[in-house]
Amino acid sequence: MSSSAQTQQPGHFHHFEPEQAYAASKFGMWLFLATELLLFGGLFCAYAVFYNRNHELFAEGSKWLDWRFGAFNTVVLLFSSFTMVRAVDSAQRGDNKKVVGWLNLTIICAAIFMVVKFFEYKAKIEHGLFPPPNIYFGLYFTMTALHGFHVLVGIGLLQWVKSLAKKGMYSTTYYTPVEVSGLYWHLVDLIWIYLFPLLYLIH
Amino acid sequence: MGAYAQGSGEQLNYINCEKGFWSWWMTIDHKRLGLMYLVSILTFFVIGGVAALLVRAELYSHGKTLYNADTYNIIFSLHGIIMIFLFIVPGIPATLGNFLLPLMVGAKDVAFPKLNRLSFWIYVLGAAVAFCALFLRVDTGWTFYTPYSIQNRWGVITMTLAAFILGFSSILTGLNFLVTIHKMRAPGMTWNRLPLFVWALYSASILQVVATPVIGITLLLLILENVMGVGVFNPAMGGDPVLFQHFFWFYSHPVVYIMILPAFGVINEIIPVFARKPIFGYRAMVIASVGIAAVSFMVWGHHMFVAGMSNNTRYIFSFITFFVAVPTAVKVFNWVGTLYKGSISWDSPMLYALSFVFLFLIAGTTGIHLATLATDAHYHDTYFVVAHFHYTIQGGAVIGLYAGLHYWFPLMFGRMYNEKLAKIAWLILFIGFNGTFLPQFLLGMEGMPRRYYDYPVEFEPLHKISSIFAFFNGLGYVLVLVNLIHGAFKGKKCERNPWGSLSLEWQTPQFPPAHDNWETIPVVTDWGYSYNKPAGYDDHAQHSASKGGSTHV
Amino acid sequence: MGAHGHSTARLGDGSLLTEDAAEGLGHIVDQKDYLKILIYLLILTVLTVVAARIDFGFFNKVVALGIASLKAYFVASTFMHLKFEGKLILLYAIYPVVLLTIFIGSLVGDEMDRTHPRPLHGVVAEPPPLVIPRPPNSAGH
Repeated sequence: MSSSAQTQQPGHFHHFEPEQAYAASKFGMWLFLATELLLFGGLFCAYAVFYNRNHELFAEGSKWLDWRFGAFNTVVLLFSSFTMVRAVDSAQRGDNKKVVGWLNLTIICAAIFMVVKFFEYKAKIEHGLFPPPNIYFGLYFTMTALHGFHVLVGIGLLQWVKSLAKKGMYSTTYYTPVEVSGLYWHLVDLIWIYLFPLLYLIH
Repeated sequence: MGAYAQGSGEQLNYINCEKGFWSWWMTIDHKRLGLMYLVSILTFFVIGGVAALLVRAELYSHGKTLYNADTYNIIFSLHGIIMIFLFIVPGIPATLGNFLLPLMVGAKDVAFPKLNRLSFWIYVLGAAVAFCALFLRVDTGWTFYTPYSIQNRWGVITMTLAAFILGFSSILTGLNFLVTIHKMRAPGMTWNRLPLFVWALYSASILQVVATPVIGITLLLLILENVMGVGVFNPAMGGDPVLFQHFFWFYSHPVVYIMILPAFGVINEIIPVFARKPIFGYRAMVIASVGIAAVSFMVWGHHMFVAGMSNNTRYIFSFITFFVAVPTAVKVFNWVGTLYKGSISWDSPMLYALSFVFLFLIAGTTGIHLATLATDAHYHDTYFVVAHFHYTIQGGAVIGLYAGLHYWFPLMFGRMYNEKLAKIAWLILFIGFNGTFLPQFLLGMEGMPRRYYDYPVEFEPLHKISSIFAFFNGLGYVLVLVNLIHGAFKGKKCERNPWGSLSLEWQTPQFPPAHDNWETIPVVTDWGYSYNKPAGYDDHAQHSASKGGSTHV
Repeated sequence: MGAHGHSTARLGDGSLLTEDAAEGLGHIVDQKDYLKILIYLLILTVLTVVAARIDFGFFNKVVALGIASLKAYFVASTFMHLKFEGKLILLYAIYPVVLLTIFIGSLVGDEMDRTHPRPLHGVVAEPPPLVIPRPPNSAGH
């Protein structure tokens, strides 16, 4: 069952064959993404219920948010998804240097996102909107803070993936960490794709 | 043939291959992890059981018996929280599941062994946080309903944080099992030959992965509501306590199936062995397991019939809830079908398995009363519900766990417990359990509300009976645990596969299994249930041979 | 399972191995496609903002969520490689979405079905005054 080819593969589980390990890790990450979907889904559900109950509350609350910051952050994250997928692509081709480069861009985008978030939160606090005075702001802070937390975790994850690239670990037959963290990163982007219109652009 | 320890001449198995606390704490061996989970959950079972006896002692007579009402509220809350989050939810999957899954599919370990170890560490962290919460006030019941639970209470905040952490352990275990079952089956272990315990773990794992995040976000919102204010569950801010219940039960209904599906799986493994007959209706059992998992997501509202949902919502939930009884009944018929014309032996695992069928029958049929809107209006929040869920959880899941512990005991320890004591303990347990909870159905029908500290004197006779038998119930468990613990250390060493099972986990080259289970991955050629059938008889794979069962989907 | 170093046509879970990746494990997408998708996403973002200014009446939510879902489709299918994955991953990617739809649908449905406010424990309570802070001017900061 084990072979010399296997012992050369870094990061492989001792009882896996390479294709099996890759398929297993990818499947495992998709399962994890399912849990994230249900986690945020609860918040989207609370949003739907209260939006239905009191539309005016949401419309008024939304006026406190600057759509330009939201749109800018949306573009930043979309771009970071693009750089992430280019990183995966480079890893698939075994180009470790390019992986580092594309991951760096992704991390920079994530950092920009968090800086913008920081300024938005600062403004809210200055306007006396924290602790949240009503359900709209309760949901706004909870949803964006939970999302922001996931962005921070993503930065940490990508730094670790980058460190493996710096050691030259990736090749055409092994790039699982990049692919799998890419999936995570795209989910973070996906959630923001929904948060932006729902929080910032209510009529 | 396996390595031998120097000096003692004992064969090296997963227990004696390495010694010392650190080797256990840092292990990634699924069998060791399973044992550590077992010790942990049984510890919490005892603590939760003591809380139960304190509750029953107080309720022995009306008015104050031992302590005051505030203390009572804390004790029954802790009983529920400990039993559910720290004992029965990890339950069979974390213990028997961890130990057996790789063995049953012919793998050397689960898909992600280090993640498995992380699951255990997270469980320990959650337990530590829960322990801290014991010193703070938690008196909301295990359901943490708002608005009572959002009054800035540190006890609630800490305990819900513990439950949130424990949820991660559950999710990661479920994730690990799903990937293991899909990607690590040995050659020849097709979906059609998969042991029913594995199918049960598969179904429960889906629930663990998909449902647990919802309680995660619910508890997170509860914590935030207490700490900073969010508004969604707080009526003072225009929020909705019924929304909390919706969120809570969306997980907490599937969680009861996480508890019971693996127990069904254990029974499916035991009855064929002790009736020396193939399981009746293998395919129906599989469809029933997966079907129960699927339907379980759509019935949560039956916990909320009198909470204030709209009428149409209630009709729909009641209607769908009736459907869940169907696959469960199919399982009961199939167990009976397996026993029919079987050659039955009455060893202790079989006693547990048979009593499971009986007790779950009571549990399930009383569930119909609760699924019916008209009768539930009367029974909701009474002792009828308490009796129902103790029959399902204790009479079902806990009995299933103990059945499995007795059955797989030789495989786990290479020793046998005392069979006579096991039978006596079972009898005391069985009588004690029924004596505790049958009267509670009557109490509920007469209107005795649950979670009440005091009651009118008319209810006293039934309460007295229930309390007395509760202590027998406790005694039964004490005897079982003494027997099993003694057996694990000092029990008589037994020959391999004492029950004569055909299932793969009993076919390891070493007994108990070596650290990596198999020297070479086995090639499976037969179904594990071909008792008293010609060699190579494979009820199922013969029909589906042309479809070509795959081993790596 | 498949031999090392050779690309089998299909992995056990149904996902494809591309013929041109001689030793590849997953599908390698043409780099131009990624750029194309990014441009689609940026255009749709502009559309999101523009559509928010137009009043479609009842369909406001439908349009907003529809455009967001289209963006989500592009991210999921190409960036996350879902369109190259086999049945297994597709099933586990779609199932949670279905479940979430049932969850949200049931709760909103229950909401909409209640015709009058529920009194708390028999006491008819006045709905609490909602705190709706209004911004100094309506253009945000």
